[in-house]
Amino acid sequence: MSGVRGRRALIAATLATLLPLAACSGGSGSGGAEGTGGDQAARKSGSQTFGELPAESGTPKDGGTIDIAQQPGAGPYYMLPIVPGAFNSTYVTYQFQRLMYRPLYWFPEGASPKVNPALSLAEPPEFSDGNKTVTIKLKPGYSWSDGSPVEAGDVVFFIDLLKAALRKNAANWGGYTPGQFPDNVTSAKATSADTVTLKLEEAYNPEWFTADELTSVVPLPAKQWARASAGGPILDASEPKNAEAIYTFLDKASRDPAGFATNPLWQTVNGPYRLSAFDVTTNFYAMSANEAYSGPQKPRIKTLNFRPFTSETAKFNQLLSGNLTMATVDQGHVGQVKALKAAGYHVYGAPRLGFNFIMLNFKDTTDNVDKILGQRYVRQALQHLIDQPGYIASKGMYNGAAAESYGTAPASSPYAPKNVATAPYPYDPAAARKLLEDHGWKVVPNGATTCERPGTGPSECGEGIPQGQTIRFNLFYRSEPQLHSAVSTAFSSEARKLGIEIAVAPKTFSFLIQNYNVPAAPSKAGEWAMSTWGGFSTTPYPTMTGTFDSKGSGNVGAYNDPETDELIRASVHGEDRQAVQAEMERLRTELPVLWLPTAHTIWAWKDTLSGPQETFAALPTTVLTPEYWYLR
Amino acid sequence: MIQFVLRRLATSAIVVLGVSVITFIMLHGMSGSPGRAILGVQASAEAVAAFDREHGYDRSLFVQYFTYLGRLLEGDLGYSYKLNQSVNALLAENAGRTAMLAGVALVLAIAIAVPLGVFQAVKRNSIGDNVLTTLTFIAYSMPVFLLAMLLIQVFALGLGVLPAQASQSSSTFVIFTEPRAMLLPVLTLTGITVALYSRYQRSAALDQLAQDYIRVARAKGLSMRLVLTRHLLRNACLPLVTLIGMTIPLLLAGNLVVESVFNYPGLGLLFFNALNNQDYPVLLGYTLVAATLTVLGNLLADLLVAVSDPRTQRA
Repeated sequence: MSGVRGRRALIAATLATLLPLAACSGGSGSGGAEGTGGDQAARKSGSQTFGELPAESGTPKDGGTIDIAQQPGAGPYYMLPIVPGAFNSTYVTYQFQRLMYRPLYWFPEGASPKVNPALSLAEPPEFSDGNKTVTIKLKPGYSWSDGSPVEAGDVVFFIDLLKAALRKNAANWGGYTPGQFPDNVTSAKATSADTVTLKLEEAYNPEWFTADELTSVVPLPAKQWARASAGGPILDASEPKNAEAIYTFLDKASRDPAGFATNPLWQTVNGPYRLSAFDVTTNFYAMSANEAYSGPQKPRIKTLNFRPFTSETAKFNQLLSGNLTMATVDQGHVGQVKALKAAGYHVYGAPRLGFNFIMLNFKDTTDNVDKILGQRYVRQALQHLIDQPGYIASKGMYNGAAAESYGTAPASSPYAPKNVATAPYPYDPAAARKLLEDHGWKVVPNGATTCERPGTGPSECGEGIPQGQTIRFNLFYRSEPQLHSAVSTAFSSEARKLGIEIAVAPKTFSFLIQNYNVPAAPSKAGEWAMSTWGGFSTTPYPTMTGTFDSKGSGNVGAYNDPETDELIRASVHGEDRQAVQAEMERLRTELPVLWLPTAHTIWAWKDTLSGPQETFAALPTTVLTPEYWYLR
Repeated sequence: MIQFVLRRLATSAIVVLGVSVITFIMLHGMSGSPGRAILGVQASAEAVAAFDREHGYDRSLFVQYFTYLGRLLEGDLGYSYKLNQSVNALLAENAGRTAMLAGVALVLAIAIAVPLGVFQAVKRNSIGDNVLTTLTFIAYSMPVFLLAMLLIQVFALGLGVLPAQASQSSSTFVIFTEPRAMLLPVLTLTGITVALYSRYQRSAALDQLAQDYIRVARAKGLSMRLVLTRHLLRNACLPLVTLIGMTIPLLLAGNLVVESVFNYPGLGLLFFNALNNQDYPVLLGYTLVAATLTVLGNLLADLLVAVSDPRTQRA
């Protein structure tokens, strides 16, 4: 009897425990499903944006505080706007330093990743002497928070300091590419209080030099900072020895996070905000409005609190609780967007400035991988097996939050050709099969496709590919997030149907970039045929110099195409300001990599926060312009 | 006893040194170029080489280890090149918060699990025992993150009676100053730990209840309460003491999940982020501290057992 009672009690207890769990999981599950269904209109497969931008509303008014979520693990750990590679990220440069120290040339302009003349500190640069001399005229009226004007000397001070930093160590500036800025500047002089003249080593394309090089220049307060010690005399930074001493002093102050908000050095700013608090333990920081800001829009919101987060889950829970004014929404929470909207948030996303891909290794001689990948028709066939619209729609992959992309910049880039979001080789396994068969391969679905007609003729397999050759690759994908596994497996599965063997295996991101990265580890070139870890960020003028030119120091897959080299050279050194379009078109069709969709960077902000639409359109580039925002 | 303590201390020191060697070799051996990991895939080869040179990664592993050991003997755990702070400072900033969270959860877990386990043993196969067994099995088999998410879903997002995140104060004593904000993280860690401890406690108490000395005590006319508190409890707690020592690293690992879900930066998260960022000095420092804590925890457990049962000193 007691046994029966015991069993009943056991069942009752089990049910009592499981019911709330079931209720919780049911609630969350249905919420997610509703969210997915409810946002279909906002997330058409391949749409260039995620949702719509709300119109500006309410009457602008001054005051208030907003809470912005930091990206987990991406706190700002460096103050001086010459950020060493180890601390460099868009969060540090765009969301932290830019609020305090304005760059000479600002980008983006709304959703368009191009130079924004209205927010730039200088008039558009003038190029002369066959594009070997650049004259920069600063706009009148910009001043530092202590009242002194932003002058040409402040621009030259930045360049002197940057050169000093790089003389000490090439890793001292995250934006450094040997041979480019500032190596290519032979002299930088303040020819008057508001004019800087740069002499360049060789002629450069004005568009490239402006959008990719001059956007890195951040005028620094020379009259305050050109010292080798606190309270020391102002030194002439054009003397390399002085510049090194000044850099050492400022770098040391930048390596003291406890002093970020209290060191008087960092209180001299020319941006709309200044740092008012920094908690070393939690990485919380706050910024207060710079009442002396001299830019086009004085800040309306008085305090920005940047809240640190330990995980995307913690951040999303705070959003749902209504405790954050704005935050990014990661791919893992896209299915719950409807719940966010119900909680009073606007949600909007767009592709970041960059591109995603499966990297191809043209130096892998294992089983003639280099010969096979060297054939353009093989790369075309492989691209035909990638179902970008399907991947974007799949709930296990992008869940609607990505855009089709077949080039090195998103469609929002003013430099991108109009067809950048149009597949040059759309998903079409039959077309892939035909390509292989037309070039002498005997396709054996789910078996081993082999070369039947070796040779270099138009209907033969191609140079170096012997008769009987099979097509076998390995593909290493980043072990997290799960997206990479899903994409790699789908691609491999499609290939298998054409008798192409793609063996997929996970690796950590760190392992991939340290070992399967030709410039870093050439000895490992024979170990990998393909890899995918995410993608590259690009600059506003999206040339692939250094990445896809045959001698590029970052040419991971050792891609080699003389015509691409020529086009890249024209992008960087030519006269045509739109030269990069031809380069992008060549890369789009030549396939130095296999193109994958570009995920949307999604932001959510409370509907009580408003401002000009274009300031919110810029969010996916991670650039913030909170001086334009107000609380309704 | 002194000889026993000295012997255990010497063994502990060797274990910690061994952990440092193995961790150092594993971390550095698997990495082709820390500079590449730190500076990212788009950094130039020159920048990567300069970084590796500056931090000594271009030298042999042997030289690197002994340089590290030399600094270690001076109390310098290195400098985080991601967080721009010394590892000593980072550990000091985070250790107090983690210790406080884990400590409070541990004390609560012991306070609940010991009487719970004894109660279940005494009331073996009763309704109460079965219900508690079911509940503890569910909690024991539940991943920490799931329990945390359920608590957030119910108490923060559903009922709205507790905050979804832990206190954001950097104070070590935040549990006492903002108990409401710390309730869910403490509850999560305590829940998981109680489930583990109470099972062991029940089993140990059952073993003791079957011993002759308990029967003798009962036959002498001692009340059950006195038998339990004076005779059974001390002996039944011995396995738990060992278990608690061994649980310290588990608690640290559990903290990682709790810290991550409840937005409470502490040691666990420091380690996790360092792992993602390949921040070797932090990884080494944390591993060394965790190893030392584990060894000390075991040492303490051994000492407590030795005091409780002097026969073990001869083992």
